[in-house]
Amino acid sequence: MLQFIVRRLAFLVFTLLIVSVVIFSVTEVLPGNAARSILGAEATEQSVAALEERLGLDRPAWERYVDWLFGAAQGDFGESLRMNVPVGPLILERLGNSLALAGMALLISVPIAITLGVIAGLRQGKPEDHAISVGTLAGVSMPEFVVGVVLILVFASTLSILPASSLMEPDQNPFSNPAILVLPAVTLLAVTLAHTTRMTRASMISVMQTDYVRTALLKGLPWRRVVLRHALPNALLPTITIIAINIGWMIGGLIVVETVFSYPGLGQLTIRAITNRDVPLMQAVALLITFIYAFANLIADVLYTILNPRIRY
Amino acid sequence: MLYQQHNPERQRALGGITVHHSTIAGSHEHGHGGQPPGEPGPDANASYDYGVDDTETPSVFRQIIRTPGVAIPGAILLMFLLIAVVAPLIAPYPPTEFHSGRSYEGPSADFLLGTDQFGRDILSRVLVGTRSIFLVSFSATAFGVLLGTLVGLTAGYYGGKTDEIVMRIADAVMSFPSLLLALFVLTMFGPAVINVIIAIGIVFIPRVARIIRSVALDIRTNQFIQAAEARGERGVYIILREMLPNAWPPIIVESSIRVSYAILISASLGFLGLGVQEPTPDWGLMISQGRNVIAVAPWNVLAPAVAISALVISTNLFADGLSRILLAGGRVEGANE
Repeated sequence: MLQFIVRRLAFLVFTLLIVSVVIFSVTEVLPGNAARSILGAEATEQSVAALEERLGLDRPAWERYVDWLFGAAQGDFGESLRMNVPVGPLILERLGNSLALAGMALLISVPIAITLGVIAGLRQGKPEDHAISVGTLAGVSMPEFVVGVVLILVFASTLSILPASSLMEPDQNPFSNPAILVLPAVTLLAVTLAHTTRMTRASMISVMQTDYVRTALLKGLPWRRVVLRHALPNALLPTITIIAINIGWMIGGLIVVETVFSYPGLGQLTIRAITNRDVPLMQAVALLITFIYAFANLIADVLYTILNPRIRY
Repeated sequence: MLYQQHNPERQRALGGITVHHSTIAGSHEHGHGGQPPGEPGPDANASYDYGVDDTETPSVFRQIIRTPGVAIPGAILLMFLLIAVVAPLIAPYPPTEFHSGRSYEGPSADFLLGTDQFGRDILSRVLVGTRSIFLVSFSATAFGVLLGTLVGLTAGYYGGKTDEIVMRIADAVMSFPSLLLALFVLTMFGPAVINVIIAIGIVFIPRVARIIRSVALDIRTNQFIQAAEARGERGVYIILREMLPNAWPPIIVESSIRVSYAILISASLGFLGLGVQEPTPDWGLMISQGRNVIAVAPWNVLAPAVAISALVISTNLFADGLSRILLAGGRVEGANE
């Protein structure tokens, strides 16, 4: 077990190294001229060269990569080209905002999802199962921006009970005005809720078909007791993993949801970095997001192994 | 030449996607029957049966027709496809035509779904927008599934070091969240339709490769592969002529699922402003622009939102049903994004 975790951690480090090379080469080497893209097409050769020197772009790529990597390992990602602030504290603040949003969405969606999934799984083939299954399939397939925009249409512009955008002051805590969290959280929640429900349903169905559940029922134990004490704990194993994997899905969701609601989180910062060609910011955000994603996957794997003794590595 | 036999369990050690393998391999138990009647089988003796019972299985097409849960979304998809083909003929106006002085008009006899900020007809733009979403999602899926299948079959067939290296690279690529990877590729190449296709294709390659590899590991254990090896066939021949024809059911299922993801990602990229660019009509972009005027001209958002919802839901229902028909038990939910 320990060996497995160590191996997975080693792979995480290896992955992050590859990812850092990819991120660095994509943002620094390939588009070639970061300086020109900042100054615009009309800039003179001299001004481009001057800016390149200021940014250190005249040095060889591998040297800049090593510098960047060591800086990044110490939390120093350089300075944003457009916002003129250090990247490190900026992404940390935005990360906090995004975590608040994602955390709320998870906290609300998981209990609902498990309840719905268990109901659908126990009533397989019945009308309530069909309703839940079709509803969650729609939830899985809807793009977040469509859900978000429809919610704005209903709750902000028609009913006027919730704000349409979640703009915040730079140092504002998102919980200081909970109203701005509601619509983005609900949008984000819709997708993860659907995934978790479907997963719970599938595993509930397979657990209810196992021999030990049948034995428990046949020896006369009350149905409710069999479901709650015998079936449910085992059915929840894959669900726990899927919650960890959900964090990965949420990252994609956050990029879109934060853009829809102008919520100042990591996702919105990513889009801003990309549209502004803000190279240091782009690198930092991409590395951080990939790290979170890879780490969430690692947690999912380890949890799955711990919870399922039949799998041994 | 003898190749090392593979232990399918080993795949689990490679990372989170454990459920997949067991589903596809699980249907192994159903035995290796002949091809179901009506199913064209390129290699009659070499059928690899994914749980399609050959005793009384009607053709896949009949099964689709008989299952309303698949036939109805299938019909809606066909309708969208038809619209994509004939859109310029049935659109009341050219989708990029400006009508000056008629911006943000509500639905009327002139403009059935209203107009946008330049007075362009929204109905025409939604109809013609079907084209770009089909073009992008189908091409991206074809690109990603083609390369992913080749990579997966090669890794699964050769095994050993090749497999190890290929799958580790795939794992590393998959450690980028899909949307972020697509955004990155687009940042590199700039926003253009062909680049959106490449970006989504690149996102798909490792994910498809992983699934097809697990299928290949199973196909590899069949005697006809050993027979081909004994005949002295080359690896390329075995992969393309012996393995590929037997991997069709999972490839088709994977493609149908990938199309629905491709629609989702391309629409999201359009919304983020990095997909199809103005003045080409694109649903995601229309919603992004309409969001700013949602209070005064909600029809700008509603029409593309309804279109995209109908398309993604029917694609998903169809893919879901197809996987139930082609692979016994269906594809395990949510295991691969």
